[in-house]
This record gives sequence, C-alpha cells and structure tokens, in this order.
Amino acid sequence: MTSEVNDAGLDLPGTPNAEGWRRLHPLSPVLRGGLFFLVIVGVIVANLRDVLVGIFVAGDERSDENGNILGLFEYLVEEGLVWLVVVGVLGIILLVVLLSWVAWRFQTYRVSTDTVEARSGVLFRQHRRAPLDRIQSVNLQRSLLARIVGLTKIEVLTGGQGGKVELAYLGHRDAKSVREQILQLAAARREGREVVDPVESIEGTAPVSYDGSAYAEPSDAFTGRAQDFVDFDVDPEAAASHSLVRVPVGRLVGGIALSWESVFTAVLILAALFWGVIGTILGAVGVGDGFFASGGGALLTLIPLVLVMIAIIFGQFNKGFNFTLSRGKDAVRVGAGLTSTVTDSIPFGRIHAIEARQPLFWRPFGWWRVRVTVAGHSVMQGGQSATQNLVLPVGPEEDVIRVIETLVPGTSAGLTDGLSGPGAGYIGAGPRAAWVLWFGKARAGVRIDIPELERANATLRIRRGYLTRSLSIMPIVRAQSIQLRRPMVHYWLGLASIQAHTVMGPVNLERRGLALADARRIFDELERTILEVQRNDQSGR
Amino acid sequence: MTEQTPIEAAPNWQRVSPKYAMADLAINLATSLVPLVVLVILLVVRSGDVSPWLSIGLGALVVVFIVNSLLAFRRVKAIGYMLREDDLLFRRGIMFERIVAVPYGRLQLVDVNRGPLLRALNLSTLKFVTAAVTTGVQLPGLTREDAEVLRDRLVELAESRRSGL
Repeated sequence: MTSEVNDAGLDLPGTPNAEGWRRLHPLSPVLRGGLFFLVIVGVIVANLRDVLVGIFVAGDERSDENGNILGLFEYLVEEGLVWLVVVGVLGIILLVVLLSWVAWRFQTYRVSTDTVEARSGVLFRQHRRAPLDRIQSVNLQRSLLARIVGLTKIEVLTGGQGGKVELAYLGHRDAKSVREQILQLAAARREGREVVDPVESIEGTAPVSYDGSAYAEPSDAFTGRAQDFVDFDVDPEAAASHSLVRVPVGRLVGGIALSWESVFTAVLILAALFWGVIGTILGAVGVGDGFFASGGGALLTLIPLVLVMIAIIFGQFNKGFNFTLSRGKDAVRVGAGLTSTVTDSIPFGRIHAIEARQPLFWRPFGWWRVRVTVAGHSVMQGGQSATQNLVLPVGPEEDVIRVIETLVPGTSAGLTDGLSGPGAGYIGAGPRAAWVLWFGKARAGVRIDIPELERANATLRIRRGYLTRSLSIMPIVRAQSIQLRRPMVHYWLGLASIQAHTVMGPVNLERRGLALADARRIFDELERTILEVQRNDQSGR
Repeated sequence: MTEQTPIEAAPNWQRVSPKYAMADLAINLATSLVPLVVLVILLVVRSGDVSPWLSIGLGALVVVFIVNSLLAFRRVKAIGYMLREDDLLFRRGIMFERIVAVPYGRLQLVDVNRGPLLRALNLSTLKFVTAAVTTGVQLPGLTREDAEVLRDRLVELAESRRSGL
C-alpha cells in the first residue's frame, strides 16, 4: 500500500516514513517499562537500605554485612576507584536509554483507510492489525503515571481472539485526535462511504472541564499539562446539548455503601466485634477462657478478608469516579476513573447485550447498575471485565433508560415496565417452576419485543431475580445462536430453559423454568425473528 | 417470510451413524473400569481390609457408569441435526436434552475432527464455531464422507448468508 493512500485526508501526529509508519511518543518505552524501573529502584533501595540507615543513623552496632558494604566503599575510596563505579553506573543508564531508544525506533503504527496496524519488538517482531470494519471499541487508557507525564494509550479492540492493537503511548491530545480519526474512518467504512474527502475537521481534542466546556488554549506548557491531567474527555457537542449521563460522587458512594459487598463486609465486622466483645466480657468475668480466645481469634482471622473487601470497594470507587457517558457523532463514549482513567468509545451497534441490575438495598432509591457485552472486551481482559463493561455504575431509572436507548437505539418502549413494573407482555415461568427458581419465579419472564415500525430493532428481554432484580436485553440482530435445554429436573417438571448465545460477556441471557410449550413457542418465534432481522441487516460488517 | 417447521412436528431429523454408539460405549465402559480397578487394587493391597462404605460407594459408582454406558445406543439415537432453509438445527441428550439453532450466517468455522477411536470406525466429528463460545455444537459420529460433504455444504451456506458479528 502506498503512502498516498495511507495519508488520504488523515491528520496524524509525527511524520510517516515511505510506507506510512509513524513513531509513538519518545517517552513510551520508559512508561511501558515503568513497572520494570520501579522494580529495579525497589531492589536497589532494599539492598542499600541498611547502608543508608547506617549513614544517616550512625549507630555503633553495625552488623557484619553493613560493615562489608561500608568497607567496600572505604576500599573503593582508598584505591581511587570511585570514578570506575560512577562510569559503570552511567554506562548502565546509557545502555538502558539506548535500548529504550532502539525499542522506540522499532515501535511504529499506521492508520490507513481500512486498517489500524502496530509493529513493535526488535528481536521478536510483532505486527498487529485491526481491520476498521471489525472495530468493536477504541479506548483511551491513562495510568496515573501516564497522566502526570501527559501520555495516553490507545487500545483498538476487534472482535477476534487476541484482536487488540495497542498504540502505547501518544501525547494526550494526539491520542484524542488519532482516536477521533479512527472512529470516523470506521464509521465511514461501516456505512459504506468512500473516504475520499479529507476527514472532517477533528474537534474535541482540547481538554474538557467538568461542565463539558473545552478549556481555552493554554498559555504555557505547565497549564497545558495540568489541563491534560484533569481532562474529562467528553464530547463537547454532547456536553453542549446536555446529553450526558453522570454519576455524582454522593450517589456513587451511596451505591457502593449499599452494595452486597459492603453490606456483607459490614455484617461480618459487626458479627466479629460482637463475638469479640462478648468473649472479652465473659473472659473478664472469668467465665469460659476458651470463648475469649475464640472471640479474639475471630477478629484476627477477619482482618485479611476485610482488607480484601476494602480493596474491592475502593476499586469500585476508583473506577466509577467521575463517570460520564456521552453520545458522540460516531460512537458512545464512556469515561471514568480517579487515579487512572479509561475512556471507551463504542461505535454504534456494537452492543451485543445489555443488563440492568438492582441489588436489594438499592431498591428504595430506585438505583440500577448497567453492564454490557461487547465483543473483544471480556475475551481479553478476564477479571477486569466486571468494571470494563460497566456503562452506568449506579443511576436512577431515567438514567438507565437513557443509557439503554443510547447504546441500543429504538428499545426504550416498555423499559420502565420491564425494569420495575409488573412486566406486561412477558411470558412468565411455568406452573411448577418454583422448584427450580425458588422465589425468583414471581419476576421470571421473557419477551421478544418487536417494534411495529422498525422490526430491525427487535430485542429479546429477560427479567429475573428476587433479591437482586435484573433485566437483560439482547438486540436480536446480534444473536449468534439460540438453545432450548431441558436438564433433568426441568424435564421431570415439564419445564424448559431458553438461552440466547452472544459473544462472551457478563450478560447472561438464559431464562430457566419456562413451561415446555411456552419455551418451544418462544424458541421458534425467536429463531424466526433472528433470521428475518439478520437477513435484512446490512450494518453488521 | 419463510415458514419454519416447528421443532416437535419436524419429521426429518438426520441421525448420525449407529456405529458411533460403539465408540460411545467403549469410552464409557473404559471409564467405568476406573473405580473398579481402584476397588480391586485397594482390596489386594489392604488384603480385604477396606471400609465397607468405601467398597459400597465404589461399587455403586461402577454400576452407575455401566448403566450410563448401556444408554449409549439410546443416547446416540437422540443426536440429530437438520438443515433448514436458513439455519442449522441440532439436538442431543436424553436426560439433558438440548436443541440449538444456528443461523447459517453466524457460522464462522466448521471443523472436522477425527480421533484415533473414531478413525478406526471411519467416523468424524463436525464442530461448529460461532462468535459465541457457548454455542458449543459438536456433531459426532458422521461417516467420513458425510462429514466432508456436510462441511462443504455448510461452508457454502455460511458464505452465502454471511453477516457481521
């Protein structure tokens, strides 16, 4: 491919070589190796700690090893070899810088009208490409360190296994501009437009403040860096039209405090305290020594568990802080983060399933959490997916409806009823389903929702839950296959379960405990709708 | 819109080769030997001094496995597939019945696998891959020729109805 094609209308940072490859930010290897450097520093500090302590606290009792190292210093000084050591250290630093430089030279990327590609590695060359028409989402990731330095990583996710192209790192504004161009190209590609004209002027690369207005051009470098650091990265147009969904800090804290994790932790701590206090009192009175010991023991054994829970809870806060969802021209943008920030840009029509969930203690406040299944995310990130796929950490019903309507257009009808209403039009569980569903039988329901006007917007909706209520929605057009299952107990009770298969993700689309006749009817109707909708679908590719 | 045959009324499920029951039987019998062997070894090593509960448990396990093996014929008869106009219908299981419908446009890959046991019986397993891992449709026990014909047919159907993710 020639460079003219590659550069058609694109405005990318840096100068391309003859084949259109561009370099990343020169500081990238340092940040990519950030952890490595920290480890080295850690090792040095740990080893020299005794020496440092020895120097600053010139105590009398020097252990042998300290003596050895200090002895070494003295020896070096006596022999006049200090310069050798200094040169050695400088040499190592130089070597590291040189290697980083070489790594940087070999790390290049290219954006053309049909792919995003990245190459890296000196000995083991790696070349990754993401076809634009396969892009599932484009993320900007900034760790705290990267934010301080003013750099940003771009992650381009495609549907396939291991289909992730990383551009790490670019300057923050450059990254935003590159992302916008990738999204515009992908949108053009999806709609079958030829990209012959130059890409429309890139807007929204200037940092954005909390209220969504772009900052003025920075007067000096420091101000610019500070603006980049606090950049909210929402679409200024979306902000201007007030189409943002936000989560205020108060609600986030409230939501976390009332989540199952927190309630569970609190109950555990209270139980342990109670036990400990009772044990202590009894012990003081002189009744039952063993009881006292077990009380204290209970407190101690809980400490690690409580620490883990606190870490989880803080993680939720950290990841949900400043949550903002905005609808841009080509994609929906979801951003959040306290220390490190992530902004996902999901092109329209890439949501495979979406689920609103309401833990018991959120019910009085009418709060919900919304998660999505997007191809590419969860396959790669396994454990992180719980937070990666969050599109609303905690929000009232009207926010949930706005979010769902934004992500899966044309589905808002009947959402309120499905979320917290009686569920009209949902086919409920079979007569003896309480044996398999327990209390969940009351809410259980499944519905194929086909809007009269736009049949392509048909969705499968599944209600479930008793303590934690949920509503899962799958756009019919994204279904991969469907299944009717009759495990043994279901078989005996004349029940069946219906499941729709989507790409891997957090949203489960199985409705158990349906009457067999209902399940068969749903199976046939669902498959008919899937075939009809998918036959008429042109957007998929 | 094309009229689909309702599942229960569908008369023409394609069956897989009955020879596959032999393979199923062989594997299951081999598995049921495991607790038996464990029991025998225990009896020999401990010279008969084995807790009665353990022997009863292992014995029961052997019986369950053997009964399960003898269901092989019934099980293989329950495996069926149907090529409809726009989708593939697949069914298997007696106590854990499962019916899956995969639109042709969603098929990404069709694999033909032949393990040593199946090869001895001149059989193949067809595996269908979609973007959803959970689809998990494997059609075992097709004769080699059938498998290849079916694969080519399905690949062709998938090509003609290809859609995005």
